Amino acid sequence: MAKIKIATILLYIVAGVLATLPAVPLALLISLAFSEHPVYIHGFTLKNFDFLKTGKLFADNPTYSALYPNIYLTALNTFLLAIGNALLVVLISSTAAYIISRYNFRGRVVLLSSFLIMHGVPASVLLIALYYMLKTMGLLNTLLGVILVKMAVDLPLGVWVLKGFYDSIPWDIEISALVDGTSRFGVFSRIMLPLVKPGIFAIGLFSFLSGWGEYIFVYTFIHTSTNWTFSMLIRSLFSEMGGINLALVASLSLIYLIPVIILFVIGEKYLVRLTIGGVKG
Amino acid sequence: MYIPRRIYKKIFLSAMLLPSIVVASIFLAVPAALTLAISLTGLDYRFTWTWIGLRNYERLFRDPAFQLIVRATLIYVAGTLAFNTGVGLLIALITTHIRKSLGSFIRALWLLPRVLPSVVWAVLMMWIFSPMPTGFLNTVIKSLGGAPIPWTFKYYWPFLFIVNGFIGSSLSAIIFSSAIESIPPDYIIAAKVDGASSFTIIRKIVLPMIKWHIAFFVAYNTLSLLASFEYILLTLDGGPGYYSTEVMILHAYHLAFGQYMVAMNYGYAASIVTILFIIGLILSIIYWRIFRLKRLMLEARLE
Amino acid sequence: MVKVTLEDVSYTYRSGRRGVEAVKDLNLTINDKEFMVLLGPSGCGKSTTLLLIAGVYKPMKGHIYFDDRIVDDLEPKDRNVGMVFQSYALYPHMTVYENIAFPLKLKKLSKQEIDRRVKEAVSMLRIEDLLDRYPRQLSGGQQQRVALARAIAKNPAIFLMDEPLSNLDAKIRIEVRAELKRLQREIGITTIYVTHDQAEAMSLADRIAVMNAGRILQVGTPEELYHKPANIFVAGFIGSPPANLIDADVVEVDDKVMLEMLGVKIPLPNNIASIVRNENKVIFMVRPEDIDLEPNGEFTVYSVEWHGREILASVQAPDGKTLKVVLPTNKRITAGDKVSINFNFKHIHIYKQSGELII
Repeated sequence: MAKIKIATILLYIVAGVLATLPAVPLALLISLAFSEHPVYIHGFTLKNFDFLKTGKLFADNPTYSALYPNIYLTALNTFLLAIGNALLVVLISSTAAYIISRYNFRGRVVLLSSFLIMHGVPASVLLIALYYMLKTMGLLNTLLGVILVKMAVDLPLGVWVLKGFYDSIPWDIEISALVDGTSRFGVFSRIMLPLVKPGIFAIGLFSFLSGWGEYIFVYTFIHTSTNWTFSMLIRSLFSEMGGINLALVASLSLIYLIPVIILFVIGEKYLVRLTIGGVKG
Repeated sequence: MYIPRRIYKKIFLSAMLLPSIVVASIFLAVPAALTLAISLTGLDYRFTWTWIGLRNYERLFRDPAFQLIVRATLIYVAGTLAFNTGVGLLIALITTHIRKSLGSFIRALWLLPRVLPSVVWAVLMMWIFSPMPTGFLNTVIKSLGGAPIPWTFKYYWPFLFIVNGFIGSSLSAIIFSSAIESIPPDYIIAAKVDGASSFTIIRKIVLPMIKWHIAFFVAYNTLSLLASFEYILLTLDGGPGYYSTEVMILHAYHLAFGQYMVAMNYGYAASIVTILFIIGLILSIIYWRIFRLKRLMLEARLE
Repeated sequence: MVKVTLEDVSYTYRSGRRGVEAVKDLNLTINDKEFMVLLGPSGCGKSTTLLLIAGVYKPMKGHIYFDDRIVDDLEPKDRNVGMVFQSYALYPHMTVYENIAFPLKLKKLSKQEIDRRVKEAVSMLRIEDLLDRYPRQLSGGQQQRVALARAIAKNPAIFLMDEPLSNLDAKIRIEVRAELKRLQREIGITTIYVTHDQAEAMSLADRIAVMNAGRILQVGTPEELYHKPANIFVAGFIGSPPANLIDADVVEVDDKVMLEMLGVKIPLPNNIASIVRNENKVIFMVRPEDIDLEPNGEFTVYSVEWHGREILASVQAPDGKTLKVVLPTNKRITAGDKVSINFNFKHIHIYKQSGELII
């Protein structure tokens, strides 16, 4: 009997270690954000968050301050990217996934396989060509260009996941709706869409977070700091202030993280389901 | 207004389907083909198309840096894959053998680094493992009376494995644990009745039954790691020193978008990317055959 | 209140490269106010026929008429049909009231009219107190009633039902069956009902159309199908326990026409003999209730089941084949008894090997 107890205790100890590992960096970040010392964790203060008052970094040093965009402008850009991505992905994938799930049309299998391939291909390989294309289209250095590219990259996952949701709705309900008198579009909007709401929520959540944290596309395609998102701002701050004022970087990161944490707490279950769905197909 | 059935159906299908096809074609399919085309040109900062055939590739293979970047890629993919699979498996095994709610909680915690914006995670890791005395680990060591360790200068590969591994392990942990949880409990009960210890059960029953999932993850992960570079870019940026962690895709990125005079060399950079494409394509075809993915396509029924 | 006619209707499912011919050259007329049952095994095309009539599928060949109008190109919403499914197909995100009101809302009826019709339908089906519930809170039988109410409230010209009772418990099934029949009579709607259960078909139908492999094998009243099956499929499908179908050879012994089967020779009455004398191999059909047993003979009683109103016996012939026999309960037999058999030749049928009726 004693042997078994020891093994279980060991198990739970290891589990405990596993649990703390990912949490430690975050805890450190939070401590650093409130630290009185710019580089070590020490004490507690709110002065690292001074930028919240006016949105200007280094408010007491106008030369520095002019180098960086206003925090609130950056926040707006980040938000636009995130919400634009979420809305477009949800809109386009919900309609396409419905047709792919329900209708038999020529090239259906080809289309579905293409989406699968596009989902598996990392976006990094397309950067060069996309840069050239955006430049030719005049969308370089614009938030719109980044939103379009981001949306295209997140689309295949949306289609696959929502297709799975549509597949799980019994056929009879759709036939019943058609017979009851809806048009084909009516079946989609009145019956199918409400029934896949969890999927829509999951994809919307995922796409929002994806856009909110996006770095590479912004770094590659955007040059003027007024079009920066938070990711760019933090990155540039860190490379310049890394050894000097880490606490500021930390506090800024914490602000950046707030929507992520909130959405994560709300939608963690959906994100887990999505990860499985996104990989399985 | 009465619209004939066939026409209405065509309009309806097109309107619903077309946006996704258009978007995917323009921003995903076209760039893929374009990359191949660009690799055959001398496209650079002048933005003029000059066909030079396979000269970029010749130059690439003769470039002394080529060996370095291929070596870096291999180490990166192999190491990160091992970390992802190993740690993910460990997490999955542990979290499925403790109380269910606690298990889900731990897996959720591990999802956190993955959900965080990449810059934040990279900045955190860089600070914790900074070789400077101001790095977190080094301040802890100093306060204990030791000398600061040059983490990222000396142990850069383990560092990268950890940074990327925390991101990738959550994925494998979720996949493996859901696979483990879907094993019919009868098998485990039968084994226990037969007198098997927990370790034997794991070795002889659990692992073989999730073989497919492990293989699938390895396949999927190698493909994504081949072209992953975001966290390397954000932390070591190919260093320290000359190309120690410069994986192929990162080198291509530097050639195209870097800050030095070698940059804006789009044609040359595209040739590296095309090679990655080809490798990925070959691997995918192999995987497709092995996993017979066709059965994921369900039958449609509306007409 | 409509007459439905299918004329040479064909439909093929596209499944990968090959197609599955679900329905082939179907011809059928369902009269106004008639309760027509499409009966057949799974995959015979009966559900496809229903969906063709509903307009979800368009016939690839042939036409469908409502009264004398061709409706091939009419979308389901314009056909004014009410449909009930085996799975009930209630909208999970709507209450019972909203479910029933849905088709009426789509027709853009006034709020009062919708309310009136919903109330009427639920009172007819006695589910007035379920109006605020969601489908997941209802039992199978209740869900079925809601589905029926939804179809009725539409005031459709045709009722289409796809195995609506198959998911219900046996006891409830019999109750609902009787109510359905009564309801249909009362409202007087042309009804087309699909099932694979021949007992259900026999009890509900005015006429039955037996289908197999996409074709209609016979159409007739339950009585016609029972007593005069046109081929062996119908003969074997209708009736429970099923009819005995026995391979037999026509032989002549001393100028008497006999059937050699089951290891014995059975003499035929003259009227039958004269018709079959030129045949070779045939299939002999006799229903269990048309066989009588007498003590002493070459047959052995294999097993006896007591069913309350009757006895079901399996009797083994000298060649090893078994016959099912239904006897009144006063007949005393046990397993192992030796018996001889008598056929009621007024009710037997003989078919060619290919399945067609000879007599």
